[in-house]
Amino acid sequence: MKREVPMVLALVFAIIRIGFELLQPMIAWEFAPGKTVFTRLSFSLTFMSVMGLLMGLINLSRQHINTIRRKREHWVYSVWLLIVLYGYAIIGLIWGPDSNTFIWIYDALIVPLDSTMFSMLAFFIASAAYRAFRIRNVESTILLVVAFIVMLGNVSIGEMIWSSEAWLGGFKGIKDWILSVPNTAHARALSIGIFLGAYAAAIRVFLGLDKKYLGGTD
Amino acid sequence: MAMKTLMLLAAEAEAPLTKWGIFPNVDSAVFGMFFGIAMIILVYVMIQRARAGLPIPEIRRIPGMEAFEEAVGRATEMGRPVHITNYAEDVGDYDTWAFWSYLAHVAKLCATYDTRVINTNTDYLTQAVNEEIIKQAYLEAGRPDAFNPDDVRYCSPWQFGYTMAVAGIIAREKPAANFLIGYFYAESLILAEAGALVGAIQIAASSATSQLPFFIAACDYTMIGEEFYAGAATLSKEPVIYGSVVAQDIGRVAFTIIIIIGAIMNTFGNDAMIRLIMF
Repeated sequence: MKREVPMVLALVFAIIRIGFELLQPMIAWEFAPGKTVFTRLSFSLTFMSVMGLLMGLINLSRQHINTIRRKREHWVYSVWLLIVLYGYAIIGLIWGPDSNTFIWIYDALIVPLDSTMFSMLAFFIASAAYRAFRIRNVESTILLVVAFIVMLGNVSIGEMIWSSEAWLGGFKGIKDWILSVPNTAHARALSIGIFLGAYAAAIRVFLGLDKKYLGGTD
Repeated sequence: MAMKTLMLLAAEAEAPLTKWGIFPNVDSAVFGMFFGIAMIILVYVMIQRARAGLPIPEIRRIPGMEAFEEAVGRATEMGRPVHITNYAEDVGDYDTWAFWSYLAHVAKLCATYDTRVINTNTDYLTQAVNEEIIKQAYLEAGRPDAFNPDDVRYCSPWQFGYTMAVAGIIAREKPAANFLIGYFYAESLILAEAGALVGAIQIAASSATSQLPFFIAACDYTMIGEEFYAGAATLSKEPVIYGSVVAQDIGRVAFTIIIIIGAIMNTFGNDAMIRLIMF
């Protein structure tokens, strides 16, 4: 029963979801004035998210309290995490999410931290590109040449070396062709495969063939 | 005059709300429904053939799938943990369903070899299911006491908050194997480079086409696009599941034929195929 009930529920809700997404009479059906099934489903999703947030909070607190209690390595950071986590939540609860203090903390701390992390991508791209572009075989040589052309097509020095007014549209013309013809063709081929793979994965779950979400490895 | 009035009225009339009276008036509503039904039938037929022992087309081996055991074995030899994450997808997403197959497999391998498995999460509901899957894997391996709930971690619902947390965990815990499996966004390269910096063997599987170049550049093995879903199916080791992968491949061949015929027809000025797909 422990396994059968969730499987039946998955199938029933899949059928309901497909019906309410694809069949107009079901999409438009109101079980009460102004209330469609989707409005009710949205409400239950919000409810689940709030409950889930609480679970996340409990997990995070439990894990870091354990770290502090057992004095594991870097336990001081766990103390700091709990202060920030609950401190920010308390400020929001007391003064509200529209208060100047709450917004200031967000603007002055979270936004710069976010931007810092995002800007680190530039350095990571450089180190990953160095490893990928080292000439080892034919494929990596093609990758290097194509990447070089695309980079030159994107920067002004490429325009200075080979103008877009010249034969083939210069580096910019070749870059545009690479991105719009072979690159798009491959991306679309991948997208079709992904769509079909996702579809087959969904069917496996709905038909009860894939039961990993119930736990277990078989 | 009457004809002109009728034409003007027809031009001003609103577009119909439905197609065939039941389908919403959006692109590909009818085609999508029939395609879906055809796929379900195809999956069912292929599974029945596999069950009955009838021949079905072979599935090629995916190199990344064979590296899972090697990666966990290496972590065991080095006495270091294994890290696995699927980043952001929630419980209702098919990428998460596919990820669970990989998680169950990796957790079972880790439990068998007595190696720590660290799972980081950004979705609280997914984390609850992940914890249950890992706990069950340890139970099946006969080591329920080795399961540590503190290793199934909720980091942050914020993209770069999560990224900072995971990069920090990778730097501190130094996993010997890093599995990045699921749908990723801009954090993909940061996570992969964090793993490369600590010398982890890295296996990525993703359906995020925009992030695949980063994974290919930074990881040892990358399963691209549909390989991610096919790999999840083959992990179950149940031959009938292969049927769904074969159906997926047949669907792809059908799509290729439609594209070729459509391209030829459109070249000669006939857009019937496009109208059929968009209906």
